Amino acid sequence: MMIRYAAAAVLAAALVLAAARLHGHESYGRAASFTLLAGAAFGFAIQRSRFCFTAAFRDLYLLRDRRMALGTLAALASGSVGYLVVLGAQLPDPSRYLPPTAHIAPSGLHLVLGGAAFGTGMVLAGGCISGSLYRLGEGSLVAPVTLGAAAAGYGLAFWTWDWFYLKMIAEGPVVWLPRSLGYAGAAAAQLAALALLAGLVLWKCPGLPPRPGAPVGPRAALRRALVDGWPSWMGGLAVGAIATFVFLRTSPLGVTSELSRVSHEIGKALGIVPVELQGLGKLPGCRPAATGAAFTPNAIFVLALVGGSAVAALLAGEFKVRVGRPRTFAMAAAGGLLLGFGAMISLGCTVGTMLSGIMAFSLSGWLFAAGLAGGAWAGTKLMRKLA
Amino acid sequence: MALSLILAALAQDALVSTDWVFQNLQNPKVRVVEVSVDPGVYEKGHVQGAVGWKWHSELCNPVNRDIVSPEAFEKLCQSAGISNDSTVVLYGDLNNWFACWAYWMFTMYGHKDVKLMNGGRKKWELEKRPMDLNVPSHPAGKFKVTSTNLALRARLWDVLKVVEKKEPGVLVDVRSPDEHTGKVFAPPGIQELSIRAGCVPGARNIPWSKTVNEDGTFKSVEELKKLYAEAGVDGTAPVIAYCRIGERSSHTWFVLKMLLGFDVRNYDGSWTEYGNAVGVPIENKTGTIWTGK
Amino acid sequence: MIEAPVVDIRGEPCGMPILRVEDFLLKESGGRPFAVLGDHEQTMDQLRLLAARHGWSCEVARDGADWRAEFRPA
Repeated sequence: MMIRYAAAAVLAAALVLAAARLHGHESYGRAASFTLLAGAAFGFAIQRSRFCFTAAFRDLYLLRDRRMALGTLAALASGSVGYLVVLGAQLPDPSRYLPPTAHIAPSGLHLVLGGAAFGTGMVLAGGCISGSLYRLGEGSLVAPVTLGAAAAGYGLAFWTWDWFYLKMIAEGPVVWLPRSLGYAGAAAAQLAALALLAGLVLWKCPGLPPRPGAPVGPRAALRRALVDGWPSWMGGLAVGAIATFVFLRTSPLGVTSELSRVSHEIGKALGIVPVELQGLGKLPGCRPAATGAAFTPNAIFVLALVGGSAVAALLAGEFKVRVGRPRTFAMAAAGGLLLGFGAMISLGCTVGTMLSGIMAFSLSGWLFAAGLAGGAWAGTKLMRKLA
Repeated sequence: MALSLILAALAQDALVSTDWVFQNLQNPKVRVVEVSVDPGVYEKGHVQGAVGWKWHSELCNPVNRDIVSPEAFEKLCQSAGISNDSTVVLYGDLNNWFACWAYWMFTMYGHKDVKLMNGGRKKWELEKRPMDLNVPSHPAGKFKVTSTNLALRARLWDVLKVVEKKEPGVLVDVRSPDEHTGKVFAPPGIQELSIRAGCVPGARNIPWSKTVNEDGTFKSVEELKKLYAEAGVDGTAPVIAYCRIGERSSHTWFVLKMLLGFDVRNYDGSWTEYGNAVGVPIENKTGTIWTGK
Repeated sequence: MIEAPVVDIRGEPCGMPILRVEDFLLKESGGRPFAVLGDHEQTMDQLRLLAARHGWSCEVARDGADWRAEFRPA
């Protein structure tokens, strides 16, 4: 036990030191330092609450287990409120301008299709991109297979990108709720929709049977925070808060830019993907984008996420090298391909497109979520057949 | 006719609209600087990518009463990412008063490509344009002061030479009429006071506020020419503009120099120097006496 | 403590293990108690939900570095 506490301390210290180094570094600076700390906090929070968008849909279908669905709704609601506060300061007049950095993307069928592919893939693989990243921090050996297959999925998507761009994205209407409803109207409508969904979930899905003999007191609370798992609503609030802070200080939360960039670079080097991707530079979302420095901001965020998750896992005694059965790896690979494909044509995943889109009151987020719901349902049906 | 066209072109050169700034936010050559003096204004939100400068400590010498030295100004520009070939865009609160001071500094210290955002912060806010909450970090600029044109600056002795008719010139007092006539020492609540009230003898009173519209933008060149001509300032004699601490006179200096093309110097010492100087002639139309209360 | 039969779901990501345990419960347990060995706490919680759905009881406890769920028909 002492070894894992020591390992957690060393890793946490390494993250803090890295943030300090970045802060003063010529090519990085304050924003990069903040991004690292935010990534570590995000990884810590989602590991502690086992925050998994896959579970949000799949467990509803499989078991009527509502916990992660409620956690996701809590994240969306708290993040919407946080975004509202920031947007109100940044953009006094939503009727004429769009927030320059938020993920308010053109609406179109590509989001539903991408969401469906992503939703099916995430259920087959057992986790989405952010879920696979935090599981990597916990010691999963299946997660790297999922992520590698996702990179390959991106490669496939690059071939189809121009078609999707011209047919659905380039002319897609940008639907931003505050533009037509004002901030108050958009907030009321969106929070009402989220409350409605939460009500539906609470009504249709019974809660977990209570765990007998849970202890109380400050020591127990500390134990619960660091060792036991967080309740999903707590994870949801943490996610919403972190999403707001990251949006305020840098750019919206996302975990796939670096993955897509690496995939594109590898593909270009091997000569197996198109070099130019039409229209990409102007679209909001998790675009593959290089900076001059060795680590892009998203690379820093994602690596810190894995680190933060590892710290959390070590403290809770949940770090363990986990190997799956052959079928598990096969499903991770197949699912990963779908994840990468869906994330590319939607320019983001459950975090970058659903979370950051809905929190920013963009219809694009809701369309992707609708695709996810359908794809996850199909994936669950498929999983039953394969079990 | 030709002169108006030239003047209009001059004006176009020095002024940019809020819309132009909005369209050029991603332009890599543009460096936007906000010079706002009310506390917290810049921090609460500013034009995207704008650096915030503090007039009191960064554009003035905080120890000796003087404008900031060329070396300090260079450092300030470099850390704001400004190079000699950057297009600098200035704006600020309080009708661009302090942004105009910065414009005057840039002109004196040899930067050739400086623009003032017409209407300043006031117009940007009236148009409800987007605000950024983050302080940008630009890579260091390479601005160097290649020449100093202190002929644009008037000192106390320059003002006295005009008063004593040793040199040609006309003084423009841009303060409110109550300050000009000596009725008040300064607007209420102001801490920078003078021991005597009134104005420099012979100074014409053309308050700065007459040069702007409701939204903070400058009036047209024709209207401005007429405004000053009616007060006897038509460009034939060199002008020295002053106010209380030199910020409003910078605004008028900008109008007279950059929009009307007059030969004009900014007296940055202004009334807080002149009204506190021993032995200088003063015109006090209302006879207000300083009693120390 | 139930020694056998044991369904080992360690190493598997969430989702599949639930289906496997459900299949075992419905088709192979024959109404007799069984144990499940897992290494994800949240999955173990879901086993309790699964048990409740089918009218079984389920107690979860730590087993070394892993978790052990004991299913008993109600």
